[in-house]
Amino acid sequence: MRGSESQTALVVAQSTALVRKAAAKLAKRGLGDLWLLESAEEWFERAKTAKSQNQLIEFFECLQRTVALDPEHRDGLDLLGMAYHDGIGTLRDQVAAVEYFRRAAERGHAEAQYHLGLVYDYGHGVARDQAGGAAWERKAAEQGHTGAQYRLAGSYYWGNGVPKSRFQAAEWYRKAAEQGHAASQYELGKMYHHAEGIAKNLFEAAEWYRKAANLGYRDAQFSLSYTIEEGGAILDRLEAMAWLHKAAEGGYGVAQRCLGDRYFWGDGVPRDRTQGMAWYLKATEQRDCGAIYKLARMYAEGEGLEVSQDLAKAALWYRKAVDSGCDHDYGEATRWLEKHTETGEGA
Amino acid sequence: MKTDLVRRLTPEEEELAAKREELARLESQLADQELLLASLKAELAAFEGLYLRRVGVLYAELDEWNALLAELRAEQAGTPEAKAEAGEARAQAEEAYSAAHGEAANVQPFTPSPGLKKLYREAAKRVHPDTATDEADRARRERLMKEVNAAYATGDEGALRRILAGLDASPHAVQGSGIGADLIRVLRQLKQLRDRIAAIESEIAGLSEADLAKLKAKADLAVTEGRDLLAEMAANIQGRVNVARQRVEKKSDEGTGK
Repeated sequence: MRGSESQTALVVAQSTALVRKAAAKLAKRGLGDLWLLESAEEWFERAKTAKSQNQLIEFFECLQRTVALDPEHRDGLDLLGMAYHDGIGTLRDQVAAVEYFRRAAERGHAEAQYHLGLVYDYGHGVARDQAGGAAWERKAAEQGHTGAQYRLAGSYYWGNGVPKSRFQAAEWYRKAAEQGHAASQYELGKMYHHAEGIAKNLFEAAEWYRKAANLGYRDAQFSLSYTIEEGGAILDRLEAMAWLHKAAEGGYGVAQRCLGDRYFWGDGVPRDRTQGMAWYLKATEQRDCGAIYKLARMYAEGEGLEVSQDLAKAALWYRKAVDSGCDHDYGEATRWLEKHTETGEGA
Repeated sequence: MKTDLVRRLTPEEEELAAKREELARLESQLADQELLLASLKAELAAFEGLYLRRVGVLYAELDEWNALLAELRAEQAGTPEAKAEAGEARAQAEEAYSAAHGEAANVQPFTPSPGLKKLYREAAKRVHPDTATDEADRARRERLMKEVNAAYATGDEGALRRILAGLDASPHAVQGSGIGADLIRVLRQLKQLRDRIAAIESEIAGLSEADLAKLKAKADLAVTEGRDLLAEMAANIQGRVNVARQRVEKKSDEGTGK
């Protein structure tokens, strides 16, 4: 009786000792893993410093050490994917990039999910797969990644890899727009403006355009200027003109042409054809087809006060229209050039 | 005039009084050291519980998936090497499980109140085995000291009060015969106390060398930086668990696919 009792006590004591030993091993293991994590983090910091100093090979090598020490280092995996994708500090290797993006993406890294979505969309290092791309972009979008929300909205808008849905597009643009994503604010404004997927609401359109315009988004500055005139905000022609100027000065071709029109006809500004011409020329530098045609027609017809007919110059502008790919829809430039080459005029 | 009325102490008596003073000082110091050691042990045990609950269980889960993977491989390959690997992986998984889900994992956070510390210090001073005068007394004190330490670790103030209430009036109440015997006994006690204080110091040094103590120091440092180290470790291991699980699922699909 006593013997078996003491035997039981001995067994209990032995198993307790084993458990204590096992617990000590777990502590040792944690300490070892922690050391790896800390070393990985140090290499990652060094990688970031190297990048900021434009030491690209050092950047790449530090990233390699980071993920070798900590294969779960999500930021490191994503950046290494970027390095391979863009060939930063290493040879470009899109297949390797996909693998690193995938490892980080599968571990829930939003930026990597977005990147993986993009490489699927474009077929970089992987078979092009818009549905696969949209699926990864959705994961990132659901984590609040504005770039991914913007992409996913675009996919819904055009029906790329997801069933086309203007309503879903507007919803995802809205999510990004509410986080201050200028391009999404502009797109959401457009959808209100043109009643796509949501009811037309000029006031909302102007509000979203204004947010993006304030962030310096040129297309939105331009759209805001004419939405104000269409009555989307309290009509203030001075404000509308100010936004048009801003968009034009920012180098937005359409805005430059429209501003040219205003000066040319004295619409909202004192009539000033020299200024008008200057803006038209700027717009043509941005390959704005409207401006190129406008100049071509002006020289061809002699339209406008300060310009007399000049077929040589008209030919030059029509030629530019063809070269800039503006003539696909109209064929106007091609026809004009054919006609005038036959008759020998302006050749 | 008055000095004539006071009997002058003999040199032996002076010596004894001085040694008794030193004894009292050392007893107090020892109580402080015991408190420090007991607190350190309890804090470490509490941290171990936390570590095992938040991180250890994930290691156990990781080892479980790795064992499953090794077993699937052994099943498919059928080689002695694969079988041996599977056996090792299984043993490791069981060991990690026993630690992560054992008694040590149940230890709750240790937050001693000032009252508890005071009671412990008092009890340690009064029952300390190294103030024992003979072997029987020493055995009794060792048993009591264990109870005191256990009560402190579990924050049981009531138990400490009961132990204190059950003690004799004073450990020095029993006097030996003659001043010479007293002096010898006090000198022996002094040596015991010094030895114990030195032993505690080396035990504390040893404790802080342990892996668990190093982990705790790192976790404590992380808190001052506003970080949760155990959460970071857990997130890392959870990632590895997910990868291991996916591997097992893939492997078992391959197996059924064949």
